[in-house]
Amino acid sequence: MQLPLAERAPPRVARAPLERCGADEPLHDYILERYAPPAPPEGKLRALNLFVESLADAGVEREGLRVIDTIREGLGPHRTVFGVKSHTQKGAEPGWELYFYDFERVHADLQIGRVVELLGGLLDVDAVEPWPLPWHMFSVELSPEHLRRERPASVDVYLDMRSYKVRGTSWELENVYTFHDPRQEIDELLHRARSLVHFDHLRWNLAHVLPPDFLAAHRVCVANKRRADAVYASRVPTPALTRFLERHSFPSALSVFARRHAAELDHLLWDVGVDFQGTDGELRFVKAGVYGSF
Amino acid sequence: MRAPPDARASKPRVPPAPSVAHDSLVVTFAFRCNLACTFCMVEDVLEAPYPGVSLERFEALCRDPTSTLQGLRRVTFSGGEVTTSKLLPDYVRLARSLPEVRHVRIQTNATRLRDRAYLRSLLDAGVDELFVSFHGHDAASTEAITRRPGSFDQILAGMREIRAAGATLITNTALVRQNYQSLAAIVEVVAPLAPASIEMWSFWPRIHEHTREFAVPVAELRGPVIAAMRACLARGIPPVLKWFPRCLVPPDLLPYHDDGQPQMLIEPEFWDREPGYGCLYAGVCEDHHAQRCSGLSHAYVELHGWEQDLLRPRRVEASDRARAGGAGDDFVLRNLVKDGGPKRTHTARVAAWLDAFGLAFGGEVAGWTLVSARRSRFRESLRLELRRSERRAVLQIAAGDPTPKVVVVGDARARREAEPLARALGDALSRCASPPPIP
Ligand code: SF4
Repeated sequence: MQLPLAERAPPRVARAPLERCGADEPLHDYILERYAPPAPPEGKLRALNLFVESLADAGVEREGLRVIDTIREGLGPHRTVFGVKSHTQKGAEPGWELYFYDFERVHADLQIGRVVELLGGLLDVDAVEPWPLPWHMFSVELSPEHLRRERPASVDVYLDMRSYKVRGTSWELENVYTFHDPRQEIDELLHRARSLVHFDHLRWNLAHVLPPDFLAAHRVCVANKRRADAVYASRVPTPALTRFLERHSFPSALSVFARRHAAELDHLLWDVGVDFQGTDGELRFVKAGVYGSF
Repeated sequence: MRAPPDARASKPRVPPAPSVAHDSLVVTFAFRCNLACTFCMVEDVLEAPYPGVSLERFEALCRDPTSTLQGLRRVTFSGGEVTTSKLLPDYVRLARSLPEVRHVRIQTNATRLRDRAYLRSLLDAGVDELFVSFHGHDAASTEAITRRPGSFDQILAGMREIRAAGATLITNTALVRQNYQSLAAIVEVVAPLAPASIEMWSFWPRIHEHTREFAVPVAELRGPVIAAMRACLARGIPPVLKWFPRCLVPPDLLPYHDDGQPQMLIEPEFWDREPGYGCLYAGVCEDHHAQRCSGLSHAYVELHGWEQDLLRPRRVEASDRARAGGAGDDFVLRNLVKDGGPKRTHTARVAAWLDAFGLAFGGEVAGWTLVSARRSRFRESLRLELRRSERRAVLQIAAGDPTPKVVVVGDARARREAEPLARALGDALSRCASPPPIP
């Protein structure tokens, strides 16, 4: 008899104990906005477990956990968004990103310099804010190389629907993006889709970059990057996350984790996004990311 | 919720078939079949058969004064092929014992109903409506689908017996690649049997892997579906069209579009593979809000796309604006994120197409200047507007094999004036060795 996939799946890769939600667990999407859980969270798994599973799958669980603990000790729980990235480029290393939000700029403890300092014992972050800028978010990239301190990590700074890649004192425009309600603002979303440089909307199936799961999302974000365009969907349920993980060549450990623990992840909503290139006449997904918070 | 009436639908000449979505329940059992239709939507369930609703459970539900069965006007039995079950008459009798039930329907392929005595036993038990799957206009096309030799004749014989017995016959044709070009011919075969309605259901791709083989792009499907619906009406028979974009249905046929479905009693696992339905315009479409249209199946969307350039949602806010005497559908707000509107990108495509024939916007053809071009909705033609001082000519280029054809649009005077221009344009088009399709 064939057993269902989840039963045949190997045990999880990570060794750290699974973290579980408390009764009043605050749940946040990837812009650190609180959402109402679709099922009671108490006793169920935190999104962070997927992050830890991906760190373990890449062989840097210990180093990654130290970063997580440091951030939580330094800033407190439920203040940070994580991203797990998959690059389709051959030989590319897995990657992660940590996002720090302060829309109203009311948190004196959240400064680029302070986070750089916090992480200083674990990785080298090379980014200088020239003067206090009106950012609402910044992120620190992570890779096995960064965690092994083989090269310094860069910072991305987000302000006014733009982002900049910051390396030392160099600030390079990285990304221009807009958010849309896929139900009420479908015309804006279509205008954005029709003007993408990397997607031929008259020849290619729009559902490749805007699948039904994205259209059912809370918000869809369209981004124009230096070498790619990207579409993100926020607050998708765990079955949609699983489909996304399987579709976009993430390590199988992650989709297996999501399937195996589906019943213990049904209270969570996730954020997902994909970068694509197509100017040579062929649509290629070059990067994908899934996001949660801890 | 019952869909509110559609004010846009014109008054029908042939009364539409009554909707069965709200006072009916489909009860499923007998997950086996004596045919093997290629696009079967319960194929997986037949392979590892569901037990379905047992007779005991159905009986208990019928006797329970608080069950969902109370107040029903119609019970429909479906499988599999329910006539393969010896227990079918018992289910039917139980359904008839429900005080408010007026109709008991079976969904069937009718092959067993050619046995007059068997059919009589079902009618005596209380069946009064027979909903027969009928997917081809002749033996070859039907049996390519059912994969059972002789099945076409058997189905027809079954339907004739239903007719002879005076029971209500309803036929249902799944709209698939294998039959969509012969829908009107199917109507011709069925119509003499005087069915109460002829239903046409867009392929319901429960098993996604099969979509590619069966799902026809709606732009291709639309013409044959409309022709078949009109063929039904010409014979006084109401068609029922299901799961086809409502905005692609002409107003006079809207009364015959019905996306409603009754509830179903079936194993919960069945819904794990239910096709999701949706529409890109769901948030702004009045027909979606009013639950008159489900949009497209997700499997279709993954294969053929959202059809964003084809669908024409009747906009919630547009009709609000119209009521308020404001701007209509064409009013487009401009802002920073609206820099790639459909007009601009389509114009760019048309310009590239014209370039293949040595033509360009602003360029001259026989002394006329080409000022604009508009593609028809289904991409079968382009309308070109040309000007010479105060004169204006409109020419239509229709897709043709091997060369696109040019016709002058307008009255006799316009045609006379623009004839040399049409010839010059025709020459330009025919000079291209391999003309690209209309963009
Ligand atoms: S726009 Fe979509 S929901 Fe509205 S009628 Fe057309 S297909 Fe149906």
